[in-house]
Amino acid sequence: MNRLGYYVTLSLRYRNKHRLQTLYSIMAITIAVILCFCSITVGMTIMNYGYETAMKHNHGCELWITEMPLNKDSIDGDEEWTPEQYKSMQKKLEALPEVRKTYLDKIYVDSDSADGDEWGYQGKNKTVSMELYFAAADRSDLKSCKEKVEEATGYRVYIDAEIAAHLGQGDDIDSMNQAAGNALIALIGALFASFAMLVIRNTMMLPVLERMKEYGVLRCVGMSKGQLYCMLGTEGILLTLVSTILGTGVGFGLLKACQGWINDCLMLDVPVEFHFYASAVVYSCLLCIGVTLFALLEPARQAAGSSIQEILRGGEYGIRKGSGKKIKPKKHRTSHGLGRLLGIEWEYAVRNMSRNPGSQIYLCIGVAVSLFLFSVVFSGIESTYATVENSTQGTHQEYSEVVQIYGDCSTKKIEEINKTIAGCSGVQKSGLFLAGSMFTMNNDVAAHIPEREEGSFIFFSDVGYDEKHLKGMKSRLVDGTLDYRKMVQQNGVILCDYQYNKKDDEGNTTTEDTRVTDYKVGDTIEMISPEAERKVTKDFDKMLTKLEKTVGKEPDSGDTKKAKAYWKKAAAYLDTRGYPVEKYENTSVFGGGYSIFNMKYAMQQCAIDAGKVIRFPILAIVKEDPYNSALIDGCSSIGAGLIMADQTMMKWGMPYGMSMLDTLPYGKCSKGIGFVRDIRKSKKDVADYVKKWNEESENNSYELGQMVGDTGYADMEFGDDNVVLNHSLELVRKTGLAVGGFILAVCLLQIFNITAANITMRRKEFWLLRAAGMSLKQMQKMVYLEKGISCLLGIIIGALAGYGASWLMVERIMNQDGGAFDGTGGILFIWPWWQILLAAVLVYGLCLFAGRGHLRREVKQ
Amino acid sequence: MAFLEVKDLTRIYGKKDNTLTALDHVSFSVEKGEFVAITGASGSGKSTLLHLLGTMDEPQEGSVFLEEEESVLGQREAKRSVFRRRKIGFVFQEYNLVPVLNVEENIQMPVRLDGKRMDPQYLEQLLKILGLTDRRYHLPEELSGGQKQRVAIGRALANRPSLLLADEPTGNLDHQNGLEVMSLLKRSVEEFCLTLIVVTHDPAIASMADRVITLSDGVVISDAKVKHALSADVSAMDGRDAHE
Repeated sequence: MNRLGYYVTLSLRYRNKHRLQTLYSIMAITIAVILCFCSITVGMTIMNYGYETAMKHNHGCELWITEMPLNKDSIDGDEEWTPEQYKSMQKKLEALPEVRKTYLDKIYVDSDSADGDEWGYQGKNKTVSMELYFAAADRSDLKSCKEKVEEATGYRVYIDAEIAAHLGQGDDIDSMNQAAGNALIALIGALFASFAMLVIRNTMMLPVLERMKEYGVLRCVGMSKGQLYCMLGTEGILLTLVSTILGTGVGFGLLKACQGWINDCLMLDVPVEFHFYASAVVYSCLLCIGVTLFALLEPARQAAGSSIQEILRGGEYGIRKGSGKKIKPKKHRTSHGLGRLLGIEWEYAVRNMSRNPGSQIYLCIGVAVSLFLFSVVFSGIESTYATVENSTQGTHQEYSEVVQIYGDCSTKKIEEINKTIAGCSGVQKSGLFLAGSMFTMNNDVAAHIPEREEGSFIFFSDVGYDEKHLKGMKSRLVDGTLDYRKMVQQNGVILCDYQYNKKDDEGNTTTEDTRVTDYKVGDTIEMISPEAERKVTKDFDKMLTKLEKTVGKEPDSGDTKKAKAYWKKAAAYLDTRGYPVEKYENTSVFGGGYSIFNMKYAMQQCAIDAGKVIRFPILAIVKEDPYNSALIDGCSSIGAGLIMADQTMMKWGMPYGMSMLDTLPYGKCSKGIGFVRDIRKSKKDVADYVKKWNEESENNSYELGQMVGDTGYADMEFGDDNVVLNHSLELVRKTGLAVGGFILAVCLLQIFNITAANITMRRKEFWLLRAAGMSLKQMQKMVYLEKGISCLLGIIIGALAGYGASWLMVERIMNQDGGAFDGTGGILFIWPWWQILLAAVLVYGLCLFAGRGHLRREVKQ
Repeated sequence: MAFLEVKDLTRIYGKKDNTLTALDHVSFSVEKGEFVAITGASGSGKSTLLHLLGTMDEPQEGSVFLEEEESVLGQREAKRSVFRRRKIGFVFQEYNLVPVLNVEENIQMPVRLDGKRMDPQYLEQLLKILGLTDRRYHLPEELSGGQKQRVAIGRALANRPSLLLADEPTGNLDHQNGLEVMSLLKRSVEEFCLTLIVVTHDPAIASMADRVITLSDGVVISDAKVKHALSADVSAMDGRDAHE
């Protein structure tokens, strides 16, 4: 204890005297503590979030009981529990010893807006949905509790999966997911810890070097190497304890300050709340003590390993010393050559770097690690944005959003609107947009999509004109001088036919792109002829009129018997008119069932069967556009459809005014202004313009409507209406900027520390050079060169390593099973070259600048 | 056996073809309470010998016996450190005080490193002998050169060592302070019954010793006893200075 006290005294005395260095050391360790504490707290919050959310949602209960009897797989509507039955079951549960508490949750929904059948029991004024939760008396065995309650009540009980996983009672997949989550957090923690270690090591090097003579004296009067290690270790622990208080306070303050903003960005149902976990403080303190002690190993080794007599003589010591082995004489051709060509400073700088490369190596490593982390962070941000852009815009999309013009608007006015939109915030390009569609029923087309969902009549083939084909024709299409239908007929279609990251049998997304149809270039897609389609429409209307007079109006589709009888009568009538639609009764094609709504499709199919078709040749099959082909599987519409248009049209579905029954099958043009915006600047300007225009021009014959991008995957939409995605992107961007800035700041701190340590270490060398006649300017140039070369090397290594790691991360982690962006147009890897360049210039500049004052002071002593 | 026995001590720096023999089979012995001066030209091996005696360096050959026990040369570093702080006191030309510790704390250093508290009476006695009672709480930067060296002597005596090694102890001091330091060292030898080995190239200092061992190129070229009294030594120094 006496010795420990003595080490503490020695450390405190030194630290009290050299307060600036102590401040640097505490800053470095505090940075480490903040990193560790924040990552541990965030990790714990993430790990506990599911559990806490579930507990909040379930009102502190782990299980819930359902109205499904144990011996049944489904129940009828009349078997659903009434509120009284729920209350009765609640009492029954409360009487069970396995149950600690119960909670009957009631959700009231306005009966006007809710469907009673779907939402549960419909009361007098409100629709009520109920859930009966209960908490287990023994939380250590939820499964047993579930079984006993099921046995006692005869109804099915479910355990909340999140709670079970948190309590270590989840299934294998839950446990694996949790283990994977823990591993990921540990990995991030380890990365931060390594970075922190480098920072601490570089910061602690300077005080150790400055006290080298003191250590020599201590060792001379009998301090052993072990004692020296202990003394430095004690100092490290003391500094870490002080830093832990500061770091956890600052770290928690930062997290709390960001909490509201994070919740705003994430828009979660249950907001994230950062708790002050005592264990996080202990873990981060212990981790930082470990990191500090490990970081101190090198400086301590230097202090303990140097020869006492050399130190006391004020001899050379530093990051690396000679091994004492005989060195083969070198000719130093490079340094001599550089010296002759560029001056003596070059020669000395290169010689110094080759003879004593220690601190240059550390400078290089420090810069490389920082640039590496910076690259990874910014590459992550840019790749995320690019992925979202790609998923919303596609590679063959001409526009990602459209302002559509409803009503009668002149071409001149459209041009005017186009100019205004082009000037809105973030709009990168805009242009006249004309969407047309071809829509037909054809079983043969469906047959070419063999893997369409069984039992579903949703298959949608996305056929379109490449935008290049449409260029130049736009204005003619808009003003009506070019007939869209004729244009398509004359040219043919381009089929986008690849599905990106198709889902396998178990619903997991694969990384393979697969074809959806077996169409080949040169094949033709048959569609009902215009004449036949017009006849179908006419006959269909006639049929409706006839049936209304003889049978009455179409019955409610919920009444299956009446609907069937009505359908049969309609079919019998149509059969007499040459449409044998009865053969399509109960087929999955065209929706099945007995809806007259689908009858028109059946009539069209009959016309196609009778050969009343026209054929569109497939000019090309586009496979490099995963975005568009994703729609083949994902976009839904009733019936088999063929869309022939500018691909942008697919972004937002059917043009205004077009519905399944009233549209012409060969296309109907809709006018609009298509545009693409930089999603970072996706503000309200366009929406404001549209709103303002419509308010101010109520009496005009046309109005504007804004439609945002839609990939067919709701979570990947963006635009003014897609607040969640925009907020998430904002969170990614701002977090990335904060982390990037932090990394840069730490990098600069390191550069300063390493440079100062290096100059201190070489104090005698500078004095000697000064005495020999080297000017301060020459000396500065020499030091600049040394640092400049090391720093440049560090920048190159860091940037290259960052590139490799970012690429690997995107390729291997994010793309695995579709990654976080499952079902989108693929994950793009973007290298943020200009941010890296900016960071490199900043680091390089400060690297040269750092130590300027330090060198001046040392030399002038 | 003598108090200190040095046998065939050899120290070679470098390896293979690139070697320098700093000490070449040096042997001598020193009796308890003896004051020995080691002299020689620069590079003759004086400081190397002192560092070897102080277990701060390792010889290639030879051994050192202190109080009939073989010293810890060649043993592990921790053991050598303990030996050094308990048996040996060092005084250097450049004082080598810890700047953040005051006079009293600098003196106590070897005892504290041993995990002990210094006997307050002994500390008082030392401070009194060294003339530092009034300066006990001063930091080294607040002391003169002579005072600093006195603190260094105090530190060397703190653990009551049996052997005191001094490397050019007056090298950085003016005449008056040099005298005081030498007087103190001699007084310490007598008062605490120490053996003192001083490395010096100053003949006047050497003449104050009981014996003078002269080294040249790492070899003992003479080992002669000096007959005198302390006053005579001091007079000799005075005379030298007056002559200079």
